Amino acid sequence: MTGGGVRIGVYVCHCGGNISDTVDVKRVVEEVGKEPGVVTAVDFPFMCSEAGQKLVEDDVRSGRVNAVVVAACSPRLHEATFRAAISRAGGNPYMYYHVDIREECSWAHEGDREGATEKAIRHVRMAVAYLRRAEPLSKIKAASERSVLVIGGGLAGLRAALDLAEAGVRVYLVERSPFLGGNAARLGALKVFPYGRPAIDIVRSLIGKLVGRREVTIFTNAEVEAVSGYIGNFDVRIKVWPRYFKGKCAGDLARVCPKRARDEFYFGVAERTAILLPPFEGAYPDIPAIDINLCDRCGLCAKACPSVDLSQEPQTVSVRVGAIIAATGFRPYAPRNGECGRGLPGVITLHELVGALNKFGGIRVDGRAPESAVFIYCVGSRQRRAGGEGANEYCSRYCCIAALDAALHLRELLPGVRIYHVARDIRSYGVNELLYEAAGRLGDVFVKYSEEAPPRVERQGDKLVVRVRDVLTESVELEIPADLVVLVTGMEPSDGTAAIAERLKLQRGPDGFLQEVHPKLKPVETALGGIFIAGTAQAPRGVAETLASASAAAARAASLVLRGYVELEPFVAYVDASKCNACEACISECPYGAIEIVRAGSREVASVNEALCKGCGACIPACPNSAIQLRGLTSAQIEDMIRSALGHGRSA
Amino acid sequence: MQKILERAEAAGEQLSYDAVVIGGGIAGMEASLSLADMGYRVLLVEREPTIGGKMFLLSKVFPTLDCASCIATPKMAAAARHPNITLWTYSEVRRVRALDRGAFEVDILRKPRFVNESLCTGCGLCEDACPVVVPKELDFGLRGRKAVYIPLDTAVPRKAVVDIDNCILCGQCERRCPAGAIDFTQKPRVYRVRARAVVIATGCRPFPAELKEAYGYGRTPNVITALQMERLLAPTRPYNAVLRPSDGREPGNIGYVLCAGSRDVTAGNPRCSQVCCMYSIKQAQLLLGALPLADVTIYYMDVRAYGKGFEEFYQRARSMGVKFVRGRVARIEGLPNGDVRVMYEDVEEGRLKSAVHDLVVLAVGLLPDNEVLKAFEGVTIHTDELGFVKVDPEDPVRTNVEGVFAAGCITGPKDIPDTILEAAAAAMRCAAFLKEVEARQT
Amino acid sequence: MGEAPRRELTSERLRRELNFQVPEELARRVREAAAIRAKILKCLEGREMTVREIAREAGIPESVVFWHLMTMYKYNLVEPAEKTEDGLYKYRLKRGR
Repeated sequence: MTGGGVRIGVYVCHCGGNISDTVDVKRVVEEVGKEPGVVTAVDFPFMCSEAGQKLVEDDVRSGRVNAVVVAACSPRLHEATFRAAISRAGGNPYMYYHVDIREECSWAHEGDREGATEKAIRHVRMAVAYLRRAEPLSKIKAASERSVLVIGGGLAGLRAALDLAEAGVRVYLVERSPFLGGNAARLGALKVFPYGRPAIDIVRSLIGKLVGRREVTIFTNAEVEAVSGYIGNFDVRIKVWPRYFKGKCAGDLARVCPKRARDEFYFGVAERTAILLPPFEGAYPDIPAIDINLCDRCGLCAKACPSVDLSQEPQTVSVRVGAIIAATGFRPYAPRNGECGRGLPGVITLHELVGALNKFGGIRVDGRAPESAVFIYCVGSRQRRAGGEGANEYCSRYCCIAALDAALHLRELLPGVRIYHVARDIRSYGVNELLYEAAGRLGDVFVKYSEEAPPRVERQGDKLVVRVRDVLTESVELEIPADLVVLVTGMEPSDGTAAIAERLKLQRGPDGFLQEVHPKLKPVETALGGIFIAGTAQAPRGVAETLASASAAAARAASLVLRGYVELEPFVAYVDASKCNACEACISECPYGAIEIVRAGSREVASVNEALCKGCGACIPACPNSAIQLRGLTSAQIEDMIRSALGHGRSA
Repeated sequence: MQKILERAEAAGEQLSYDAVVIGGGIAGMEASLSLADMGYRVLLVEREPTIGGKMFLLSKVFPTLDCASCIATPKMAAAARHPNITLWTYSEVRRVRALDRGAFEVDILRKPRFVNESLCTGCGLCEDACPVVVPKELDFGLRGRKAVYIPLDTAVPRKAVVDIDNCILCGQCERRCPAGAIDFTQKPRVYRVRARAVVIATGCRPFPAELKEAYGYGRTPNVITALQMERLLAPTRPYNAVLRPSDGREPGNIGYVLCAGSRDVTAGNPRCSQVCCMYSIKQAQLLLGALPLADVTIYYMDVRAYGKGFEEFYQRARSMGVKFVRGRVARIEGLPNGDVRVMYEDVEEGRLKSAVHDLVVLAVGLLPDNEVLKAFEGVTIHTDELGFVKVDPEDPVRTNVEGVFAAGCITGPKDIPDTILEAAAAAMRCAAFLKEVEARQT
Repeated sequence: MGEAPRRELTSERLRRELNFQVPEELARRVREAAAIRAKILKCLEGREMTVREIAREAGIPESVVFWHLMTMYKYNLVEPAEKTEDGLYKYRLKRGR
């Protein structure tokens, strides 16, 4: 269908100078204007602006143009923008090719005007060659489940689940541990600045509102085992581990159990038995669970309580959902032995301090209240040079604020205590600055070290000593004696976050956290349609920021599933039945199980499930008869594009 | 305008929406789009003649260095044409009354543009004809605009507006306009709108730098604010290059003064403004790109590079050669040749020092733009001592008044990624509220 | 255009209805700005000059010259030419106007 039918319009964007400072857009317009099939070629300062989109719309609406090339930024930013513009004007959105001449030309070849321009011209020519053989396509519409799976029952998961339920969406909430609440519950009585409300209160309130809602099904002690399907229609298999309890228990059952382990709820500063009791008032569920890895089935608990049932088996539950929110959270950084004195008595992490304050209502070293405490910041964060392999280069965001908050708590408990903060920068951003100011006002001493000279912690007699060069006092080496050293540890992605990334094939950033598509355009979306991320699984953040990100993820999931259907891109494989001889070569190549053999009249032929096909193209070279092709990107189109890129385009 | 406003007419129509979103910056646009995508009908009200707020004035944005226009303008276009969003620019919320649970009555003044929007093509001939030149607000005074003007090339709507306070009614624009779009018969109209929920997204205003007298802003031409620098670096920039205002010379040695009007009790703002470290680091990187021979020095107390990818971005600036000096700037004074002397306490060396730059940028903090809170009648939206709207710790977009939500910088200074998350969150919480109100009514 | 020259302009009508007088302060500012712009444009007739050169010749402070120059740049009356060694641009009248 050369010439005749296709009337191509080419629109070249300056991106305000981002492109036009390097690429000679006028020359691009002039050159591609000569290509067969091109009826108009223009340049414009901002194609994505309202006025720019209107250029395209007007030409499509008037019928002057029926195929469009926009040469601008990356298609990841604005391909959808222009497809939508063409649709609005009554055109077919797939008679479109988005050429990236910013990232691929002007930015990649800054300073080489000639080369960048030449490359831009070739790229646009390829797009024109593509469109000469393009055919109108339409989106594949599939029904969507009006339900969402939320993975993770911490602060973010609770908030997102409640939001969705309140908006009328069916929710399945899956939590790995036996109880809801996550890390936020473990912050316990610590108040969330600036509102002065204990973290546990927020968790308890969310749980209270969530539990019992008819839209909500909660699985604790459970794991997402497998996910298949696609946006709008995910099949989820959930493994629910047995609690070994049929109901509640009266009396102090934990005392019966002879086994001991560190209690995770208090960040390991206390002990627990193999019987896990609801860790706080208002916890869900209010039924205990047995830590079966620790339990040796001695049966003492079963004798003491009729609710114990050691015969329970794991169960598998299958659900269908339209969208998934991963809210799998963080784990505290665990310092290596010897890192800033880790391993010495009296050296604890910030999380352990929090655990102790919650469990014991205070902190004791060698049975005595500490008279002096040193907080060492950025342990496990901003380790650009010091850490080497596996170092966390990122800032963990919450820790400066949490440390200041904890120090103020400590001072409340022990009014005479001397507190030193050994930090690089105090990042008490926003209103949190008031905490920094308060700590200083109450007599805390702030010492700043540089990355090159991290503080050292040693034991001298019955005291700890922190040696640090203070950049605030001409880098004099200070020797600070301390009873207690608190390592202000950052956040790392939790094991659950790592596991879910693996299982759902979610992208992780260089920092290991789950990666959004774009921090501003698609801040809670992943590269996989229908899967969203929230909370500290995405990045270190505080309570308020976690809640906001969770509600944002819920908003995206809700607008997806409330519509009741999803539209999928039409770039899927199709089979020319007349050429197919059902050899099944394509089936073995397909990684998504999207192809099957069906009867077509008297013959058997391959057939593609359009909803499952991702358009990867793996099947195409496998076919000995060229019977299978990709819609919107046929072999003939690819050949034409290559030919035109090599400079033979005009004769094609 | 006063005389014109006296001619305001009450509009007869009774309009009703699910939600009124106040403020058409990035937070208001995002909240509106999220609500609209969930199927709710939204009235988006913007005080200025264009939506876009602060973001569409910016150059590139951290930490990805995307150009701000590339993110903001398509959102502006999307908000303007979403079938569930009604957009009123150049309109002011005059009164908000809570009638009942989930029932608000909002009075909105639509100011006359004196330009027929459906006829105006945005050609700009009226601007050429107009004889009046006044400082252009959107360029923070760096150059002039006419009394009739198109706010920016990227404005939505990209239509002319007459600044009636500075108009001399000479009729030049009207004679020149080829579309016959200039219309001085337009009158202000006050609409009474019913809404079930309200979202406040009125954002922030920069700390008025002239209040920090020791820094000489307003007296020393080559002391500018970071927002002015944003404009100098933006694609819709006022000058042909990055030039200093005193004489149009390309600066070669630029100083950044952090915490100008933040973390400063004497300036009335003890808090940190949360974004200034990062935007300064970003501008420094952009300046090194625009002016390869320039030196950039940042005077700081703590570098607060706390968000996702921020620390990495900060380290990149260091490795590019941006100089970081830990010190609080005490005083800034202009020299006769236009250069600027910065006097500061170098804390690492423990003594007072001074340095001369040819351009100094004040990293001004952010204060709430909360004028609209006065329009609430019968209820009071709680604010903190600086005037930021207080929110619920369990639900950080909910105000003390049921059905009234807030997002973006109006609840505290924040960067764009956090603003966008909060705006979507406000939409979600608003949607949940609307659903609940619906359920009770049926 | 110009087919119905006698119809009252809407600006004239508003002027009449409000009994509008241009405020003295505004009128003064308009006159002053017009004078400055005229001086700058005259300086640039047939040659290229820096802000400093225009300021010296027209007797107007550099920052004022620059401000108006940039406003006229926006309205396509002037444009930058080459950059001098001391980081100052020369400006000229926009070609084709």
